[in-house]
Amino acid sequence: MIRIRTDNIILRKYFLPVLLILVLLFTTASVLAAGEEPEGLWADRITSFFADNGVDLLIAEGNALLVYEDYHIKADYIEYDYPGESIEIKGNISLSVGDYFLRAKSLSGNLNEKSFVARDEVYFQADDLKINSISLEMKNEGLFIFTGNVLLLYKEIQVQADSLNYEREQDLLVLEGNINGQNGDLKLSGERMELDLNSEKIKLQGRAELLFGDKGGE
Amino acid sequence: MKNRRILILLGLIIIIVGIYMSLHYQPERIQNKPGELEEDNLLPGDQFKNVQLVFFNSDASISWHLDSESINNFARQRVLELFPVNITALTAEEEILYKLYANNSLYELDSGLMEISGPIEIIKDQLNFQAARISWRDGGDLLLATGGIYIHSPDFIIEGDSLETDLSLNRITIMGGEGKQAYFTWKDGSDQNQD
Repeated sequence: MIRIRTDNIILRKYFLPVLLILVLLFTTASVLAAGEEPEGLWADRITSFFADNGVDLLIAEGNALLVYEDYHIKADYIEYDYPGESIEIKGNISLSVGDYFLRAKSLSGNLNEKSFVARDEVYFQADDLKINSISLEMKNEGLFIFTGNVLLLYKEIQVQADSLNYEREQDLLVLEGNINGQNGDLKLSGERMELDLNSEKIKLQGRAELLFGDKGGE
Repeated sequence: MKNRRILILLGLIIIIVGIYMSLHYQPERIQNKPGELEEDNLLPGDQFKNVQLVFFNSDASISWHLDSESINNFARQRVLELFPVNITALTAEEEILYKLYANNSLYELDSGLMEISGPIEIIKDQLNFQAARISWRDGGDLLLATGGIYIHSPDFIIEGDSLETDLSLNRITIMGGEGKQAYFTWKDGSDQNQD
C-alpha cells in the first residue's frame, strides 16, 4: 500500500513537468519538420511602387536575393512585378534550383509559369552536365533551349553546336547545327546529335563523321 | 559716540552695496543645451490647446492637416512642440490619402523642418506603415523615416532600417541597415502562395 501511494506521489509530482517537456519537444519537432526556408526578396534597398492597396512593382538593388519556392536567385538588380509575378533581372545573376544551377548576365520571365529567358554568357550546370551559350529559354522546367555558340560538356563529351534542346523529363539532349566536338579520343561532327543522359548513347545525323583520334581512321 | 557713527555708516554702506549688487549681478539662468526643451523655457501664454495647422508640398498637390491636442512654443528656440500628432494627408481634390498618428512633433519655424517621433503609424487604406522617426521639410516632396521600418498589408510585409518616399506614399524606397538588408515577403495565403 505504501509503495503504491509513493508511486502516486511520484506520478503526481513529475506528471506535469514531463507532459510539458513532451509538448515542448513535439512542438519543436513540428516546427523543424515544417522549417521551410522563408520566401521573399532581400536587398540593400528595395523600392516599392504601390497601387490599388497593394504592391505593384518591386525593385531590389544591391546584393539582391529572391527566394521563391525552390528558386534562389541572386543578382545586382531584381525587378519584380508582384501581381503578375514576372521578373526582370540584371547583373551577376545566379539561379539555383534543386537540381541545377544557372549563371547569366540578364534573366527575365515569370515565376508562376516557371518560364524564363537568360541572356549573355549563359552557364548551366546540372551534376556532370555543363552547357555554355548566348541565350537560354526555359519553358516550364520541361524544356530548356540553348542557342548561340553552344558548348556542351558532359563527362568526356565536349561538343559545340548552334543550338541545344534539353528535354528534362526524358533526360535527352538534342544538338543541331554545325556540330563539332569529341567524346574522349573520338572526334565527331554532323548536323544533328542526340545524347541520352540515361543510357549515355550518342546518335549523330546529317553528314555525320566520327574520327578516332589515335588511329586516324573514320 | 564716534564708534557708533562709524558702525551706522558701515551698516549703511553694506546695505547700499548689497542692494546695488542684487540689482546688477542677478545669478544667470542655466542655459539649456541645444535641442533640450524644458518647460522653464515656456513663456506665459505660449502653450495652446487643440491646434490645427496645414502644410503643403511643393506644388500644393498634397496637404498635411495637422491636429494636435497641445502645442508649446519655446522662448529661446523658434520651435513648436506638438503632441500628440494626428495628420491627415489630402489631395488637392480633398481626398484622403492617409492618416498619420504619432506621439510628438517638433517644428522648426525658421527652417520649416518637422521631426515627428513615435511610435508612428500611418494608415493608407489597407496599408499600414510604422516607423520611429519621420522628418519632412515644409514645402518638400520627400519624407524620410528611420528606425524599425515595418510596412504591412493583408498580402505582404516589408521591413527595413530607413525609408525615403514621396508625400503620397506611392513610391517608397526602403534601405537596410548595418548587417540587415531590406526585406519584402508575401504573407501565407496571399496570391503568391496559392498556386
